[in-house]
Amino acid sequence: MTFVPLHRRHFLRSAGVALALPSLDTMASRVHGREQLDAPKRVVFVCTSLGLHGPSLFPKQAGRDYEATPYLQLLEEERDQYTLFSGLSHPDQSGADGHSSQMTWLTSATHPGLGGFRNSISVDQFAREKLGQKTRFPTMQLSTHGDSSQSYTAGGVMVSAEWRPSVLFEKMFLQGKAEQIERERNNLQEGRSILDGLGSQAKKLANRVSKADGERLEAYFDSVRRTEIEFQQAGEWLDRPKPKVEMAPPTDIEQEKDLIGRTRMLMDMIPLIVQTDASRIITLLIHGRNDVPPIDGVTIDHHNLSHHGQDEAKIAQLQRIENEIVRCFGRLMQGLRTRSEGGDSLLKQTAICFGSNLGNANSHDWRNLPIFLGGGEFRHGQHIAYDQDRNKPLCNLYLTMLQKHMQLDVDSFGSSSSTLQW
Amino acid sequence: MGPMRIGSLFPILLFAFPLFSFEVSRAAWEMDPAVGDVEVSVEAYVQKYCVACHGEGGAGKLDLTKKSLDFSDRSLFRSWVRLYDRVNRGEMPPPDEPRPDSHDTELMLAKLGQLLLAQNEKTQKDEGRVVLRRLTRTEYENSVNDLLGIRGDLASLLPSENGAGFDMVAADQGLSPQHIRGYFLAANRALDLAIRLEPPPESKTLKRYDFKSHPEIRKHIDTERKQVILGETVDAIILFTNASYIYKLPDFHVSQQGVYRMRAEAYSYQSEGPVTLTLNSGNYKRGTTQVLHAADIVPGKVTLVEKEFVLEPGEYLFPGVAGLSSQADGKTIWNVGPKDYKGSGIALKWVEVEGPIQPRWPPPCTEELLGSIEVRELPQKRWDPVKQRNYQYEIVAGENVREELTQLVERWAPRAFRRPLQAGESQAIVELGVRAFERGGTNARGGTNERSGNMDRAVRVACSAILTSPEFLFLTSKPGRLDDFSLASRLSLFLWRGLPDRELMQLAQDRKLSDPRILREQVERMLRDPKSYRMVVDFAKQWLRLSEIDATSPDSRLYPEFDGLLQAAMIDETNEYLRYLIQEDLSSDFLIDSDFTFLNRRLAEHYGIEGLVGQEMRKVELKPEWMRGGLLTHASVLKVTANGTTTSPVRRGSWVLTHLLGEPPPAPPPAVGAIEPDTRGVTTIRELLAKHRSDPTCAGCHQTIDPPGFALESYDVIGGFRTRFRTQGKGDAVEATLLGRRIWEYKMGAPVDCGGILATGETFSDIREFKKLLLQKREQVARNLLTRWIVFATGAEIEFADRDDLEAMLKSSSNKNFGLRSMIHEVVQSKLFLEK
Repeated sequence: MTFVPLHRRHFLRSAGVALALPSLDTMASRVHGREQLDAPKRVVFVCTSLGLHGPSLFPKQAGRDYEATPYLQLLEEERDQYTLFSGLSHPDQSGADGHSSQMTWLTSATHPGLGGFRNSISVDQFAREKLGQKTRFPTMQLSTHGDSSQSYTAGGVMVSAEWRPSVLFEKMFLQGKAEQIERERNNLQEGRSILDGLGSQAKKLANRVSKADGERLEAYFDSVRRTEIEFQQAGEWLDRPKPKVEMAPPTDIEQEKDLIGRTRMLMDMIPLIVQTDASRIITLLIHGRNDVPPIDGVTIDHHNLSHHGQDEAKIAQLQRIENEIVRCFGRLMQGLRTRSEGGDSLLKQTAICFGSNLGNANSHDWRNLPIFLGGGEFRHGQHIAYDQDRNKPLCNLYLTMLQKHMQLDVDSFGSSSSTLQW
Repeated sequence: MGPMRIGSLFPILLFAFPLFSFEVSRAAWEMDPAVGDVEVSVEAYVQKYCVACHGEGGAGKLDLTKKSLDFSDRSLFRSWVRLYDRVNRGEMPPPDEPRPDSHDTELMLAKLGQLLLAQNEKTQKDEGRVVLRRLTRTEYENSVNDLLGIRGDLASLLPSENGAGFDMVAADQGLSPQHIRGYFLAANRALDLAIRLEPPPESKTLKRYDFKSHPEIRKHIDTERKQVILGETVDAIILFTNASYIYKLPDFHVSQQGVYRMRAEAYSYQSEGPVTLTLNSGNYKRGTTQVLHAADIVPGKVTLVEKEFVLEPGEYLFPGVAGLSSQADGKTIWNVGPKDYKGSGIALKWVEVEGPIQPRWPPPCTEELLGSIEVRELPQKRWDPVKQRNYQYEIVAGENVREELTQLVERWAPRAFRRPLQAGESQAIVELGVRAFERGGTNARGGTNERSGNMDRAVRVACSAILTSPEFLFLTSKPGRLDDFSLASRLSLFLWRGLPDRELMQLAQDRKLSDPRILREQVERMLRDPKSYRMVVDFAKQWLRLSEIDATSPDSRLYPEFDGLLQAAMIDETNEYLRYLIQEDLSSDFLIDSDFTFLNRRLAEHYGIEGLVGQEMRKVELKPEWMRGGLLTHASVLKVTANGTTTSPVRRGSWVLTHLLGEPPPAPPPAVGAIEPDTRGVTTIRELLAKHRSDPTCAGCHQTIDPPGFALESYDVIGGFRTRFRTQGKGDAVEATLLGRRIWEYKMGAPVDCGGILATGETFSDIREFKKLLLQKREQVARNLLTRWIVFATGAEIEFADRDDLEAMLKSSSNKNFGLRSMIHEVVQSKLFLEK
């Protein structure tokens, strides 16, 4: 049995970021019983919504001895830390428009956006339910722009994301002033008392409505109850000091078109989240956009470039953007690899799925997705090529991550048929 | 049975039965003697004509041997309706299969129809058509703003709606803890805007910026640096291009949300035609800018431009220009400098800003909300360190707090709940307020004494409880006929997307609203009210998917003429057009074709129509050679149906079938990849699509999908008329000019082929002929519009049992030549609208 706090101090010193340790009881309170034996496992899902140019990414050869393509050359330093998959996708994704598969990347619900469509639970929210609340934030949704994420509740409602690193930093690390905490506590208390009142109102209302209406009301009531629990837990966390990090809060990049700058900053937040155990389940959406990112040699907007129409000049510009996105992934792996916890690198504790919901953005093809699996304890260093015409379900990879890495007791997720073996 | 034939069925079947992957026990129906007879006949038919293909592991993933007529399962019910429809339309069995005996088919359809109808009617009787519907986030925002007399951006605090269909369709509406948290946040923001206790806005609110003499502007002219982009005349500064960092109004800060008025005086410079001055706001936080107003300035006339708008804290303002010509050689002010520049400009004399315009303080909405609860001015400002704000007023707690809170709740809850309170109903909410008062603690906004702070909390808690109550958020009613209050709610949400006003509530109170004559008068009144424009905008957004106008931005090399002003005008055209059709009760035929539309100068020039001056939309008679008229030629529709670089006849054709005709094509089969666009000019999309005509797998659907898209090939991705494709590859130089200069960004490529053959055999050579053919389907267009309106108005899709009602309404509408306002009346007076 390892004595966690000692190791934490050790890893913190080696981490490059100076952290002041949270008090011992906080440390103890976040690990329950036998879990103390094992360092916690984390999962990260990162999606770049406009795909990655296939010919620049996928090697011709499968297996270990593939010849690195232009994109993979950017990751050579981490070559043994990841596996590249081809031939994975979610089945039946033709949807309302070419980009509809963005909303089902983490869920695998079919025919997104077509009549009668309702999304299903996303893999991160699914994992959250299985894992329970072990951390201040059960899951974290990051996004380069706005509040839209790829995370959905079981009822198909999108869970909102945060794009501002400063806000993430504040939530995780900044201890509010006593007055602020007191106010927050009051707000939570008021919120809970209103919620309590709402519950009894809903019950009264239930007597007046029909059966089907009653079921909908039950869904409302259930949301109210769950919010109450969230408020209660938020109240409890309010009493626990936040971990302190000795770094200046990040300054957000206000410029919306700076896709890469924003991506890099959010990617840099992930090792911090993992290191301080703020959350164990993280998603990040890199929004492809209709504006021109400030990158040398790029003059056309990203979305347009993704529809390159085989125009070589456009492809060259697209590569410049995607180079930077791929580099961000490398940087994330490196950031986790060079920090350690309990003697292991954080990368070993963290499985990262990095990829896209589009296999070929030029034609909006949602099959043959570019999918990387980085970190964790998998047999990395390979290009695993599945059949281009008969893709394997991407959920098989998700299931593998939940079962083998997170060690959650799950048999299936979404459209999974089995775990992946390689 | 060759593999080819199965292939040809695949796409159709996939769509027809996407939900079939279940095994339901047959025991339930077998034991029910009432349906046994019918069962056998339907079963026998399916056995005889369907299972050869749709057996185990059958075509289209459909196994008809594994399903029962158990209709209590909603998805199973829908699947049987699909089967009914496909057989009824003669689409199944497919054309290349032997025809079933027509007597068999008739008998089966009659029995299946009877069974489906019985089940559906039973469900509707027990439950109503519409399950408990909640306010959409747009409706929530409008309702709270109407209720409190504020103008808050609240929708953005709530989770986004399921984007697949209309957002008010109850069965598709999501609910989650995130909604609940969102309602709390939104209530909080709304109450911040309604209860204003901060110091009154400065009395000296009018600021005037004389551009010529203002030092912040002058420093960009009187500079040693080489590059100066501002010119000057005797009384003005000349703007030649947009540069918000220079024109930003200095020392203007918005500290409070409120209404502001901006004025500017300007005249044109070196321009023969009108030029456009814009008034804009920027938001540091979001890093975005927005055009608030655009106005034309005609040569030789000093023009005053004026506009009122709501600004949020942290926003800034700046003037801008649009549609200015550069020099004929293409050089801009940046290349030439103001002294020798020959391009056009705008001479700006001054800009004024006034605001927040608030004649009384605290504002009326605060007094209205608090009623008899008193507000007291503090002897000095009080700083709240958490809110980071000063307060100048406080709420006074009277002798009898419970009594005051009771009055508050009994005034507000009935308005929010859209009905009178039941006996004792206010008590629970009042109690929440009283407890908050008694609990005390750090108060929300500070006050001079504890009682006052506690009263502030109590008021907010009580109001939050009302705004998060299921009675406010949901439309509740019993199955059967709506009572007058529920009717008032449904009506105001339909036509105003918000709360019923006092007149509607009074009529409901007097039980008069459901009187058909009064209902008709109210619809007329409500359509005259400007609030009905919310309905037009929201309906167009969702019906025509104009919500996706921002989804792609046109390639700036292929479409250098595109900008935000043009996009705004596109949306305005469609909204104004629909508003006018409703106002004048014009026929839904006008959706297909028309001899007029609504334009401003920007959009008219985009359409190649000269001679309009002014940026406001107005009705314009169209000449046939302009190739415009009807929704399909609206740039808004043409833009949302294209990506930023190329048009796809498939996408546009599918749009026409889905949104105009209400006959959505099936999703493509999984094995077929999408067409890979190629803009090098080597192949045209036509050539790429030719495969669809020759491959029977595709032809089945694409002979219906593609033709409307072919007709629309005459319009580019931003709705401009074209006879040749623009290309980045080889092609001829462009003859047209753009704002006084040569166009070098693209070349003219292959000619556009806009002819085609309908699946039914008729040919057309261009959009005009296509529209004539489409007019033959006028009834289908009217049926679709009526259907969309019923869904929009009631919050539920048309069900099997509603079909006869729909047809009756359609018939009745046809007597009014499918007039749009008549259709609205038809909807409101229908059983579907008047019953739950």
